[in-house]
Amino acid sequence: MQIGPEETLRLAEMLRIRLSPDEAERFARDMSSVLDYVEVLNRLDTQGVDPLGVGLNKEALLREDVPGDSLAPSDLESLSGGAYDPARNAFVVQPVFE
Amino acid sequence: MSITPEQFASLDLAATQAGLAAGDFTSEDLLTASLARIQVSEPRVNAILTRDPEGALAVARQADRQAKPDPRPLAGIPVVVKDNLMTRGVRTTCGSKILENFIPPYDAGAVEKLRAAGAVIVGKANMDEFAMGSTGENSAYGPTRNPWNPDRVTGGSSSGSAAVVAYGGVAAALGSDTGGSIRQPASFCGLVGLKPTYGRVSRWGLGALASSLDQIGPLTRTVRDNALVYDVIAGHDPRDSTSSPEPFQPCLAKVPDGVRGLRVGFDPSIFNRDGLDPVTGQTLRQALDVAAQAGAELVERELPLIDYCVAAYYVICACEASANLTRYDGVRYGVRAAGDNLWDSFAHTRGSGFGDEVKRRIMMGSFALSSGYYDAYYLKASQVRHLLVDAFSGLLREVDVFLLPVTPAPARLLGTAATPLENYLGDIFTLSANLTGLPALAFPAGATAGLPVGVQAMAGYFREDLLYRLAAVVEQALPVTGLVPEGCPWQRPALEASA
Repeated sequence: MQIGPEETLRLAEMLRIRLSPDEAERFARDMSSVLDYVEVLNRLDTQGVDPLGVGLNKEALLREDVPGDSLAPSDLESLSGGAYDPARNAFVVQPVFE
Repeated sequence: MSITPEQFASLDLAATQAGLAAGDFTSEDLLTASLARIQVSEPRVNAILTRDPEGALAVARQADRQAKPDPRPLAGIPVVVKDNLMTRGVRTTCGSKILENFIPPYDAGAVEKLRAAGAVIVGKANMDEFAMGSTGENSAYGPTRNPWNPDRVTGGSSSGSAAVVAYGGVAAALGSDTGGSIRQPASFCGLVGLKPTYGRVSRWGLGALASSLDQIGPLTRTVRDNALVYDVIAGHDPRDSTSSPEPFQPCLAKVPDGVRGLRVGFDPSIFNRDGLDPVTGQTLRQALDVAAQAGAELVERELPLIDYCVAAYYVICACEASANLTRYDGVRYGVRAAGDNLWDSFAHTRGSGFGDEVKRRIMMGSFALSSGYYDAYYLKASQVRHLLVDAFSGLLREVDVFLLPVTPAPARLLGTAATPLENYLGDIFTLSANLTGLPALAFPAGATAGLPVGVQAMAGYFREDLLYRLAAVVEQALPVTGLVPEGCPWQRPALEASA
């Protein structure tokens, strides 16, 4: 399975990761080689085998939804490099709609 | 101070507890010695990203005010935790630039348990970025160097946790293991490292790499110390929905129980495997001989589906990582890079905040999960995972413990990076335990050219006690100290002699 630099750039764009053309070239090469290697799985017959997901518990463990303490505004101030605005007690981002 | 940094470095946890109870030294003395040891070693090793001398001192002094003997198992004892475990008020970077300024407002579940046991957390350990790596070289804060030989890697991703224990900065550290990230650096640094049964230690407050594979566990210089710390951090936590409600049986008291009558499995074809370093094979054989002499029955069995583990693992891990790492967008926490608009800010934050391996895995995982490829990659890998679980269930009905190498070869030279795929192939022996959720323990059993070599034991779910019993027998017969010796920190005469 080969992925080209163009496809890699498109993938990165969807994942909101800015890549340089040089990075796209390099990652395309790396990913293609890993995807080629992964083909080894096709040697195994998995017809009718259920996929195994997360965890060993037979069923999802649920718990009561008990209201607890929220983070204090003073806790939030330590969280962010700038998005948290204590005056408004909100995370402030640029407008999504103009 | 009534204990020197050198004396402190050679103390195990039992001796530390005894010394505190007898009043030979105080917890504050221990902290001073620990910080001094770290201060001297760090310029060469780079194991610690953040030190917390003030926070640690407050806890140490509090421990010193308690009546003696203090029943809490780690009361007043310095420890280090990997930097992907949330620590309230102490910077937690996950080894990434994107969390360079992140100070969590809460403690991880495992950290809470350490604190409740009285532990003094002196600092946060270096690691491969978001635990993606098996050498320690993928940290955004520079590689950790192996204390046995600074030209070598420590292994990863719990690189700093291993190095700080090996150079005697602390007797115990916590790491996390998604594909070998505790066991592999433990093996490269001459330590005991446990990847517990999946669900045994709470993942609440662990910076997630791959949620179905991640487990937190201890790295220590002795088997007994490892069991002691494991007993502290294990147990159900309702805040982690994958945490097991299975009652926990403490392991410490069982460590000396021996292996008489235990069935110890191994795969004889391993010894002839391409790429297996001869000393690694000899070390495994040596450990098997010790087990047999101690009364275990050796049983030959094939190590199941070993040639499919790397492929299945890297698909599943990348898929889960790509989902887990979407949260790092520079809004709710971490570093935020400016952009012309919100999307541009996200892309710039993630493009400049993540390192190469992280970007690669996010892209790989999203590609494998995308429409049209999902069945071929993620679904296929998850089916293979099921086959692997079934195969190991069968195997572990026939043997109690299975012994295998930790890595194909000892620690390689720093900066001799292979391709990503070649690096992934080095994880071949550790991945089964994560894919199946089984517990696995790495422990030292030999040496080559001044570097320690470990072996790995796997057992059935929740049978960590069997792993410790076997490791304790090997430890006694083949004493390979995990502590880098005084006087010649980069030479290993004592170890060579024991090999």
